[in-house]
Amino acid sequence: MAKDIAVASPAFGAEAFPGEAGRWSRLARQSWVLIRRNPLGFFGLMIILALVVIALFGPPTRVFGYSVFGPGFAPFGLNEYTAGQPNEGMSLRHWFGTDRIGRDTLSRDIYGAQISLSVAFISVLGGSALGTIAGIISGYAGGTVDSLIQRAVDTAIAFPALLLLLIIVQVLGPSFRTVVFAIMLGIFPGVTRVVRGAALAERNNQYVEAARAIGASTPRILFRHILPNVLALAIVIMTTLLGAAILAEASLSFLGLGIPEPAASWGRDVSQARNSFPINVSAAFFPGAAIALTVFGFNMLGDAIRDIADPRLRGSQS
Amino acid sequence: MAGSYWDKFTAQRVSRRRVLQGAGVAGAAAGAVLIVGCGSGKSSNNNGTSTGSTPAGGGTPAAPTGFRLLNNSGTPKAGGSYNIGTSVDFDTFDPHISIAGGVAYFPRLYNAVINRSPVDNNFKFDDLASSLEQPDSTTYIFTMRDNVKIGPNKLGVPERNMDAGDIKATFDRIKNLPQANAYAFVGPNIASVDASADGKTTTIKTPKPYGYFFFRIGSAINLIVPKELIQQADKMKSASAGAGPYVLNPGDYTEGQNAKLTKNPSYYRKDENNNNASLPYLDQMTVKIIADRSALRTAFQSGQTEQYTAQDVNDANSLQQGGPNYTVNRDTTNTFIAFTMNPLNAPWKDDRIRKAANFALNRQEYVDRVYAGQAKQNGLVHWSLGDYALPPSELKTLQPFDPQQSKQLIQAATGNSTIDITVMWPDNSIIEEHNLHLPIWLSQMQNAGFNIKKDPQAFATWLTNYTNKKYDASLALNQVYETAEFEMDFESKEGPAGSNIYSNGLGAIDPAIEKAIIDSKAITDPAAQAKAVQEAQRMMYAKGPMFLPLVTPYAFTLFQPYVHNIPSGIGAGSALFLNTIWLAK
Amino acid sequence: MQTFILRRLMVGVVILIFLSLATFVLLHVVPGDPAKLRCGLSCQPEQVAAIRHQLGLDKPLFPISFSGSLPFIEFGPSQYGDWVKSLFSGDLGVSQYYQQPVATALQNRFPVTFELMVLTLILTVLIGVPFGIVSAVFRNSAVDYLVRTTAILGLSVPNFWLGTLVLIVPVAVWGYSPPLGRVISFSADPIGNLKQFGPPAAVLALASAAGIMRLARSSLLEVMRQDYMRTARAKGLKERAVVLRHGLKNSLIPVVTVLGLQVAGLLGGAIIIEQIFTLPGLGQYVFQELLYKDFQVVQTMTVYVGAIVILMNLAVDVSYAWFDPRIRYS
Repeated sequence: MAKDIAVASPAFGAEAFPGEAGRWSRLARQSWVLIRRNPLGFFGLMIILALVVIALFGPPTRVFGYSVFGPGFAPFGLNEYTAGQPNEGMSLRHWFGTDRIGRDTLSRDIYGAQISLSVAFISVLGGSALGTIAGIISGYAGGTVDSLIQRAVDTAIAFPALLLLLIIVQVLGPSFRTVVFAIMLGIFPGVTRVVRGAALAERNNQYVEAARAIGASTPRILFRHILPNVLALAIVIMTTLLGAAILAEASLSFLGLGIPEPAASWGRDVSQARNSFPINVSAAFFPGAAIALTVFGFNMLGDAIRDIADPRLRGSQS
Repeated sequence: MAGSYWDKFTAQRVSRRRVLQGAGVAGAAAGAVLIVGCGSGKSSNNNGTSTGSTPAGGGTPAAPTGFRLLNNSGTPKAGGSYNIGTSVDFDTFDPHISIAGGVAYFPRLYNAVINRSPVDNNFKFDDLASSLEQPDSTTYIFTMRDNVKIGPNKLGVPERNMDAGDIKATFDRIKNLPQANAYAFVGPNIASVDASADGKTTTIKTPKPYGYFFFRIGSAINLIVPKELIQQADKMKSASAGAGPYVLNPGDYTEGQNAKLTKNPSYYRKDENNNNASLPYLDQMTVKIIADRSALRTAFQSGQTEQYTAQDVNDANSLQQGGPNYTVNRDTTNTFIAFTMNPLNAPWKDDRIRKAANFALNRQEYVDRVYAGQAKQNGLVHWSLGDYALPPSELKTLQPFDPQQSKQLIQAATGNSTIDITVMWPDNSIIEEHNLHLPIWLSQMQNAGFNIKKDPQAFATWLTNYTNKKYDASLALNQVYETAEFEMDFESKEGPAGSNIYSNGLGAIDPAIEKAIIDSKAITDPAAQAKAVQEAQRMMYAKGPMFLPLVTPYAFTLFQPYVHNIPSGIGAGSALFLNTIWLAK
Repeated sequence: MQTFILRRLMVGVVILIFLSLATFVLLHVVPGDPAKLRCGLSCQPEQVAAIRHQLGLDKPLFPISFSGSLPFIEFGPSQYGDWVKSLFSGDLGVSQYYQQPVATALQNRFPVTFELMVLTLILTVLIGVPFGIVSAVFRNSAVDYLVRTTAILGLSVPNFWLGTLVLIVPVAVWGYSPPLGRVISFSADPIGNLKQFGPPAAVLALASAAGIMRLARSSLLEVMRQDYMRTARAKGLKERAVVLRHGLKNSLIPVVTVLGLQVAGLLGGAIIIEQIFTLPGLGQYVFQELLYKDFQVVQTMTVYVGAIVILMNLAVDVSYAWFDPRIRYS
């Protein structure tokens, strides 16, 4: 991989992305500069790291049915309704109080972190991967293939995103998998569009022509030459999409078409707790605050990563 | 009426309980004076206690009914506009077709032949019929009241008196309209309707004796529509013309926003407690469509609506603490969430596994946690149906909470102390009660040795699987069951209301139970019928019941302090026929 | 330019056909029968059949079927055909669940969503642009950091949470709530109308205003680096005049175009906000119909919204050329 990048480097637009050899060391150096210069981004990173720790070690994490990292530090179980009395206020035993049937709100928020982050990471990784592949194929191939992919993308973009997600979930039935799949589909067109633009620029570069001249196959050109050069861009897009994915899952669950009971979901907890709001303020407040904090962290981190990757874009994206 | 129309509300995002309680209790109409049975019609006094009347086909002793009027001080004053918030939108105002919010308002627009309270057997509301003769157990001869006059309307229906011809026209329409909701009742249970030539008597025959006849004929989807209107049924979709207390004029319903019901000046009922003053007192009743509970509550608290059905007793109390002196009506409901097993599929074929499920459930936990203590445990028929349900003392022995015994039964049946089961349920976060039952239920079953493979489904998918019998077990949605018939039918092989489209119940494997269920329907004496239903339940417990209603709550409806004469204690479906409310402001 | 618009319109039509087929197929693979949903649990089989017929669900899905004899293809009445016909005739039929005419419902509900969108866009600009300018002019100052952090926060707070709090906190504390359960038209009662639409529009505008603020900031910074700005400064103009007269006008071009593109996203947000504030708009309608599996209404709305978004995108592209004469389309 490194060798190929080295081959590719002379022609690559160096000012756009630090795609040359030594990128990683420069990245590290820049990161340190950034932490000093961009404390907000660092703050965002800290929030996300803390959330990842909570998500991994809070609830008992299961991988293929095997429990890893032990039983977790969440004080109570997700649906342990005997944890306390219904509608308890904040106390030392229940930091965030309890919900309408006596479940511990803090524990539910901890379990919710695992679900929210899993949905976000899996759907964004998957959606970006699909979008990147479709984007470079579309940009490199041009012609009919390009038109077809782009019309499909146009079709998807013509949907209000939330409506598209709602339709998909309603069609496939609410489940973790469906929600991830729907958000992936929601992410896919935008990524495709952006990556296609970058791939289009790469296609006409001399190194690609050189590769073609020496008889490299199309897949080889796509994945060995063009992909590494649009990857940085894809990573930048991914970080900005993570917050959006969290919000999307929460919105779906709030509307009742997200992660089904009895799994945890911040959005659904807000939806349920708002009905007993004046009696139980904490149960409605904390899951919402958790969503806001997580998205806030991802947005700040996303801004910072974009700054490293492309100083020209600093603070520009919405 | 059992399940015949109230279960239509399952398609709503909200439980139908809310439709009824949200809209229902705010009746307006005559006091108990006007509730005249064919036996002794006694009038209530103004202290809010009242006496009942003998139900048609009677047999139940005339005990004092639960009916009363809340906040009944002062002299009634006519006028004013009453606002109600409902979370269930209207679909059509055709009372025979509607399955949505309108059902809770049709008794305001049209008349029933007769309505009997499902909650209080002693409460009977004679509407179009003033008296009844029963020459044999399948014939009902109603004598028509002669002053039920159709009010002024804009649909061109003449302002004449309602007569027997209208009853015949209505039932003929339903009989030929399979998509009508009341078809499930009229189709199998009404053999013929004949109107006398002078229009003064109506003769209704049932194919065989049918004990739930009075409950169902007076339901809000069996209302009698003037025959001229049936000729132009399309007009009923968004307007009304009839002899009910209010009329919905064309243009007064705005889709998605509200429906404005206007007083019918020629409504025939008078308030005998107040010098025979005309009813209803209110000039207008506006039903506002407010989709969310938090918004409904907000609207009530800010004075934009006159009544609000609280989420639970805590909700009611917290409103009371902060607000003015609201009137709170605590009333029984007919709703519950049930665990359904399919006895034709393994492992539920085995009665020991069904019994294990029965012993696994600690019903008190739902009472305490979901309803803050304001609910009661159910047997196989929910407690609010009174004598049809088994008494709590007997339930203690028939369905004790005993997870140890569950495990032993599972051990005996399978050789293991645990068993794997697949359970489906409708998933939608907005169905509040269901989501609160679910974690408790899952945990209780787990503790009793059931390893549950969870199968949450989109509502529409769930309903299709449920009605196609494609399931092992299901935690079903809460519906409203106004008589014991529906719960009994669940255990029958034919399924609810004999529709045979779902629930191959216990009766499919036990002919004796099947026979007991079918026989109980034919008993027309309520006391004897209640006894038969109780006996059938005992048989079901012995064989391992497959339909377990968990708990049925009370409902708490709050009214602004200036709302007077709020009918209470007879179940919302019947309270809808009463239009006693007046406003002191 | 004309050929460009024409070509884009043709592409738009192709997209709409894609969209109609995609939603139609998507919604018809859903398990669950709308007739049964309507009919309920204790429904008799003949009731289901009657409702299916009434709703047209007994027709085949597509107009083309293949049969044994020449020419092997048959065209016949179908659900897809009926639907496409209804899209053009304007007779959108009757909602399968709510038995009211769909066209009337859309007519009643369109002004609600339209006003919500317009108010939201106005608030977006009123909040987003000034703060963007302040942030750019005082870049890297405490004010800049405060504004930028607030903007990220605005992008992070879930609108359903904020909307819920905006609705239920004031009534708990002061007993105040916006009017619910009826729509107050602007012409009849402007103040009442704004009381009703202001809070939901503000909640919806928060995220888009944050986005516009960030865009305005970076756009203005970009413009201020341009040569003509340097020239203006060199002429001796005051910094304020430079920013306002030269910088602002040019930096607003991308802001205006992005505003147009935000409409699709805001329409999605309207689904949630209309639900919470019980505004009877299109978002609430399409969500309810989706829950009740009223295929046809969801399809219709999707195609209509798709058409609006496509036209919007076209308008944005055309406006680019209009704003910036250097851009030419052919």
